[in-house]
Amino acid sequence: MINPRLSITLLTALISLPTQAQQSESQQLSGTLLFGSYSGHLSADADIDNMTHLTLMLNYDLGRYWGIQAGINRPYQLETSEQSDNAGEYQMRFNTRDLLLGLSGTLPLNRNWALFGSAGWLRYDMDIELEESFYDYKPSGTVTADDNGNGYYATLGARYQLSDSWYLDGRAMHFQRQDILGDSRQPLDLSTTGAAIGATLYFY
Amino acid sequence: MQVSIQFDPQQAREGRWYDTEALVVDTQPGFLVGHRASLVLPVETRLTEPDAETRYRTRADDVVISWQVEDDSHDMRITTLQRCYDGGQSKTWTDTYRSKDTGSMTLNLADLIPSERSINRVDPVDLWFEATFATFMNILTLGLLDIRSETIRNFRIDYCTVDLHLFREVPGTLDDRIEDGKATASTSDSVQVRYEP
Repeated sequence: MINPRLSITLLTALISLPTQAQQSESQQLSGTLLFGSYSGHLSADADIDNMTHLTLMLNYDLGRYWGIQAGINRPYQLETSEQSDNAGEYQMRFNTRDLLLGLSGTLPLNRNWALFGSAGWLRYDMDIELEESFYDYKPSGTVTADDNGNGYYATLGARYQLSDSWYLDGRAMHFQRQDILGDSRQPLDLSTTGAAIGATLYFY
Repeated sequence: MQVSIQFDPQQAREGRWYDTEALVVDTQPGFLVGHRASLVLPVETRLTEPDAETRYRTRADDVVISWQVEDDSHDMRITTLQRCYDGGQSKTWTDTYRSKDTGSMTLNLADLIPSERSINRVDPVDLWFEATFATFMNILTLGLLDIRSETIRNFRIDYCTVDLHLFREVPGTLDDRIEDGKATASTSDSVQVRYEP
């Protein structure tokens, strides 16, 4: 399981990087907040309802075209559609917090527009909740398990410069979480893909 | 045939897509567990009429359903599933009819298909909300936006399929501890016909 302090430490470490960035004007630190609508896919016979994600990224430019980034991704209402069989009606929810570490690339198109992409490692920390009811012939209930594991993410989009420090972002984003409940008989892979918009602020 | 209800959380969930041992809602056995029922399956039910894909042209037609008689004390149930098409759209609904084991039953097609060429089976509550929302948007946009649902009002029947399911039902017995409810054993046969106006 991810220690929340680990996430904070990593982000804090990047925030402290401007000291090094000041050594070169080409190195810059920026923060991006994205909100988007996503569809999900589970490697099992279950549908995932559409959901939203909130994503916070910190990007440190290593040069004009490349950078490294760290971030936190938080899906909301990541759950399967309600299913039923002879035993009961059931629905599974995935409350996941994703830590992201990766490389980013920027391709300036003109004075205001640039293409932006990134990809990297994803670490998920997840609570899996199963809610089940039994057609009123016995009480309904909920059971929870937790798991953590690895995956990857990729983003691709465009960026529009609003001012010296502010940018408007639009991105297609994909998050892949692998081997959920890996110790069980039926491990799962869970991906979410969608489009997000947001804003980027350059601190320097 | 003896039926007994047992508590087996794993076997009850064996068809599910996740590991039901890793995730299982811990509940007590339901009140039905431990009860038993005795049933005797009736003989095979076999439709002799109508033939599959029989085509009816008008709602004035009768659908004559015939089957092999076994025991006139048996209860027969006919469940119909009507599905009508308008291009890529479809509407579906069901009806149920009951009879004794007399060997035949006649249904009026007009009872199965509510209209010759169009259908307007809209839930009155849905219709009220839709009309209210449409009026609200119409006022809000000073008449620029009219969002009445034409798809519901103008559903035109291209053709319909009617699935006829015939059940022969024989009551079973429940153990003495059950105060209410029933057990029924049944056999069935099905056929699909078409309405093509």
